[in-house]
Amino acid sequence: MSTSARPAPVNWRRALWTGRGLFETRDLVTIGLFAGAAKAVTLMLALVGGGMNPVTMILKSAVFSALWVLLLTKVPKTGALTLANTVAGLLGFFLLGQAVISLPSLILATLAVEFLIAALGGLARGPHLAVLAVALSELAMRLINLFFAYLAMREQPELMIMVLMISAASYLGILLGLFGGWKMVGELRHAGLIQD
Amino acid sequence: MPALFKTEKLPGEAAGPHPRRGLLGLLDGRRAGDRLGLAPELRLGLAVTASLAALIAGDPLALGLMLAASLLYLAAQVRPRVILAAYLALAVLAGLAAGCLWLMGFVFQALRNISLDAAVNPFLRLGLSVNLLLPLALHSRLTDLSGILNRLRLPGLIKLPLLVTIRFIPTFLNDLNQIREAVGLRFRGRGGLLFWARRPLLGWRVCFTPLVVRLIRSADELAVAAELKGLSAESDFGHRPPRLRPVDQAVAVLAALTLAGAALLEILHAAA
Amino acid sequence: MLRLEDLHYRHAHRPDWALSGLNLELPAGRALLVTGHSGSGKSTLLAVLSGLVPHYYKGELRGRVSLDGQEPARLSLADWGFKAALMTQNPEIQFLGSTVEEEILLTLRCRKIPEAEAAALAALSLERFGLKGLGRRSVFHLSEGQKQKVILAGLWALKPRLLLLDEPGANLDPAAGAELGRTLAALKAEGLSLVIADHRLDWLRDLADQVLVLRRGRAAAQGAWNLLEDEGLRKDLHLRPRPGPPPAEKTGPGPPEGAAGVELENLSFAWPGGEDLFAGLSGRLYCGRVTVLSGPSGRGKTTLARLLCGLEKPAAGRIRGFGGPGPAGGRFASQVVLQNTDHQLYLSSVRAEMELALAGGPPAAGETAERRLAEFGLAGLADRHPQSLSGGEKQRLTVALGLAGAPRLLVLDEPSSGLDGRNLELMAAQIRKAARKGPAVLVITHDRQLAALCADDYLSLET
Repeated sequence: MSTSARPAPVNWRRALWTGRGLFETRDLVTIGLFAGAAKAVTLMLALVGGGMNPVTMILKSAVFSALWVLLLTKVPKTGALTLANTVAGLLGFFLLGQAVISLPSLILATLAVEFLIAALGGLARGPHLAVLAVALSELAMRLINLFFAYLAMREQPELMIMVLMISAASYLGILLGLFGGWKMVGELRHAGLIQD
Repeated sequence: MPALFKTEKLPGEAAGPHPRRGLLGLLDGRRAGDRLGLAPELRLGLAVTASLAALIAGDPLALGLMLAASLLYLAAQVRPRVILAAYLALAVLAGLAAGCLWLMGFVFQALRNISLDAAVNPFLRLGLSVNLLLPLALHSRLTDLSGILNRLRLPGLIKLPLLVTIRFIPTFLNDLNQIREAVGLRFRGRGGLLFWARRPLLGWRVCFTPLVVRLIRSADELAVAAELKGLSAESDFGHRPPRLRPVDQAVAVLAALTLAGAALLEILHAAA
Repeated sequence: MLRLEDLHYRHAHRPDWALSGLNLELPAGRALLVTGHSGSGKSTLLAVLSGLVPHYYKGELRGRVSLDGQEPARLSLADWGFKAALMTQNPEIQFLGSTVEEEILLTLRCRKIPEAEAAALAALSLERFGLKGLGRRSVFHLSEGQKQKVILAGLWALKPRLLLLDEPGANLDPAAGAELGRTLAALKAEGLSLVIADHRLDWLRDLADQVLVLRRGRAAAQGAWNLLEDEGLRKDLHLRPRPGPPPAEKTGPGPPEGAAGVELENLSFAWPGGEDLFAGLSGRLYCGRVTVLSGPSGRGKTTLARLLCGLEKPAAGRIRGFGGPGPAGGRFASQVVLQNTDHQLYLSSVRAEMELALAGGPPAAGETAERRLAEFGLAGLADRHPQSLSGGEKQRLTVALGLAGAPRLLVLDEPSSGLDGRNLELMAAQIRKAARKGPAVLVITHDRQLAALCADDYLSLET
């Protein structure tokens, strides 16, 4: 009698619960650290310059997106950006009640962007795809936030003009930060702090 | 020659490490005025429920009922002075927004159609959000979050990075403070804000480079420390089931009654 | 028994062996001191003994490592952690809990120890390390020595056979070093084997049973403590010199008549809600001289530096410049070189950093970035990224940058932390050179050897 070796069935629930096969402990630690830094900068800038001050708003978004580009260069894996946004979102929710309603859709939007980037060859192909991933996911998140803002202001949609201006300013910060993050990746490689 | 240094009084017992001040102190000990001491989970749950209800509701009476109840909820937890300050800040923001809209009305014809009646609901929703989020923002402590993490059944995939985030936010705030001081010392006497206004790229570098370097080095060191500890997404983080005290239960019941009342008003409004 | 047999290790993608031909036997209840110059392989050896090699670092490992007959390669990293536990150089980075008790419990939970057993072990461990009253204290509110104790308490609760310590003496004042020495001696008496890698040697005199001196990954000397009594060997192998007796408060040969400097007049300071850190502190720091300030942690050394640089304001008294150009008693320029040099380097090359620093100073004929860098032995590094420099090079660069603004006062906070004997001497020479360029130099340090090498005047906040 002969027996053929069958591969052990994949425990998908466990894989999704623990990230086994997707992320190593060092990846999760790095994601946690970058999410913490992003939140710390946000808190500090909000305290120094006020949350609605256009300069701090742009600066906050710039630091955020630059950190995300660096994170994706250090952890170039599909799912890293979603996890980072989830952690930052949950922390904002726990501490400040931010994005209480929109969080699930923000997570789904980031995941969709990550699958698109994976289809383009994945983050390991270079920092330009990390830049694209952050640019698209931040755009998607702003569109979703605008939708929820519209729901809250549906009786007087003209009020949305203010929200649109705020979103545009913060996205300008995102774009500036993407450029800064991309330049910084090159420099950190030169310094030997990030390996190819 | 006289002694180089002399002191009238020298310290006795070691004064302890550098006290933490500023933002970190705020995050460490935001307890002032928290008379009810509600469970953080309840505050979070109420914030989510109220935000959802506010989005669904379209009847000003239903929204008004929820706003009134949320004001009571706020007053029970936050000092009147703080509430007043928050509402004043909100009024200033609303005033600024109104001013901008008025100015933009000269460009966009649609903005001249804004009526106070139609803007009531958006402002009721905004007030409701502020009332629910202010206690969260004022009374949530980082140390509470470790407790919440232990009570929530979140995937280890999310719990591990969140644990790292919670643990390292105070460290980063401290680092940011040190970076701010180091930059202040190095560029002292060079013209202050004007100097940075002329050199925005240098400003970006001096803030961002030390932060990033610190982050990358910490990530590598902490990854090693975590591996040595045996920490992984499969680790047991010490699950504790949530426990609500009588005051939490009472607030939850009152919130449920308010929601039921608002739902009734909404149905009557729709029927009318 | 810990046994190394012809151990070799090479990092991934590197041509040279980081460790080469090491042999060793360490019986239970004995302590081994591993020392050597920076980059000699001390930390790599600890990585091998802790199981990080081969489980985390995937280089090439040859030879055999065993503890009581078991090898790290044959166990998971988590299981090996029950046998050999490592305390890294920076204990704060090892903390994942927010409070002392939570940290110890988390260490145990990560090892999947049942909750009830973990709670009992944590309580026992807190008591064993004298931390019983500190269980609910935030890990951020601990002194450096207490942080190490918390880490040790967590590791001890795992009942390991071997305890590995990476530079435990680097950030401790002499009293805290002695306290750690007593704690480790007690653990050794319980039968725990210790491997301690450190540059600072002499606090380990009564603890270490064996000594291994590494040079470029090889055993350059191996034996009992008395081999370190040979000052020639210490110098040859770039180890730190033997410290002299604790220096008494002193002033060197008097400053020249009419010398300029910085004067402290009846200075008092207290943190909000706290007791006076110091009161009625008076004295003078003279230009062209190096004053070393030491004293136990928490006595206000760094606070005094912050006052001198204007980062804090005194509760009473004042700080003023005297002598030299400018109005008498007027404001004076000061610069501080912080312990963490990473926070003080911003640009993409060493040259660019120096050019920026010189642009902020008074114009001086013939002064160029290259010349300044050459003075501090950094000329060959001008095109390097500042963050790619070694710890000692970064310290030298920040001192050179601090001087570029021609300050009247230059303050250096713990500039010798983690430096080997050769780099220590280099640093001391640079500090002396910095003082000869004009400013009063204040060095805040626990390091007696640095003080002996560079102090003109010595001050302690202890006596």
